[in-house]
Amino acid sequence: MTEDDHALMMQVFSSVFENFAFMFVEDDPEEEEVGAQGPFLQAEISFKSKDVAGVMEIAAPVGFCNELAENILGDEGADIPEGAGENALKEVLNVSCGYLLAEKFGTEEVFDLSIPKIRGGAEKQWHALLEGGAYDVFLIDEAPLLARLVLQP
Amino acid sequence: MGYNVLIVDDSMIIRKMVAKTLAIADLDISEYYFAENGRQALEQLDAHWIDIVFADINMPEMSGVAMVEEMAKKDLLEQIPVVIISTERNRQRIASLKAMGIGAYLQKPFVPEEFAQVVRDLLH
Repeated sequence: MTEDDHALMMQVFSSVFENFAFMFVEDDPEEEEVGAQGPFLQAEISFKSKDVAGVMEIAAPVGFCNELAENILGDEGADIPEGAGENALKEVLNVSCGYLLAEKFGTEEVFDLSIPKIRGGAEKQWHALLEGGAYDVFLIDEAPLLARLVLQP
Repeated sequence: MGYNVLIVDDSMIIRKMVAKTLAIADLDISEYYFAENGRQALEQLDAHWIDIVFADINMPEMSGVAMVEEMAKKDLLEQIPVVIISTERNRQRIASLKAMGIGAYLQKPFVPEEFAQVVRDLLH
């Protein structure tokens, strides 16, 4: 991902997480801050316009996703329905992707977005994602978030 | 007597978030109805008296746009205000939604105060 795309992602995540969940995003976290924190969730959305197609992905620890759901709903623990963490991560990706595409390509470009998909991963797979170098890393309320934008040629 | 609202979104968290925003907005709501896509929403509209609909665009089975098109075919449903809540930012698409007669368009993530004002304007 280019430096411009990274800066754009920072801008988009800062706005979305703050407005949606009152959570704050930090850039360039220390290595020890982004290590595995148990199982994680990985959400993916694809997009297509007349001229551009690609995929955006984000991944975050399950515990963080549940906290994200609590913040979005303004509820604590017992009131959070099952699956809310998965739903929250998918919705944040959906909103972030729409926002990012409009900022990057302008509001004249007509994009079709897919319904976001989600899958789970174990701790050792988190390390593989980190070490692969394909993902940019952000810190959101002290939890790591991995993100990448892939444009298809 | 309060208003009956229908919230249409494939995301459970957005359905709950919209309901919660309505609940704290000091609006007189009698019943909340929910649907996960446009098709389910049309079934709810056939089964219940609904005063206002909140709908996403991008949903499986039937989109919010297709739902609005179907509502426009029936005299009773055509009168019901629809608030589209979506990530869509394309000007042309937003303009065509407004041309279809939707009550209002709100971009996700919406600000609760703005949301409440839009609803008040439509219902009063």
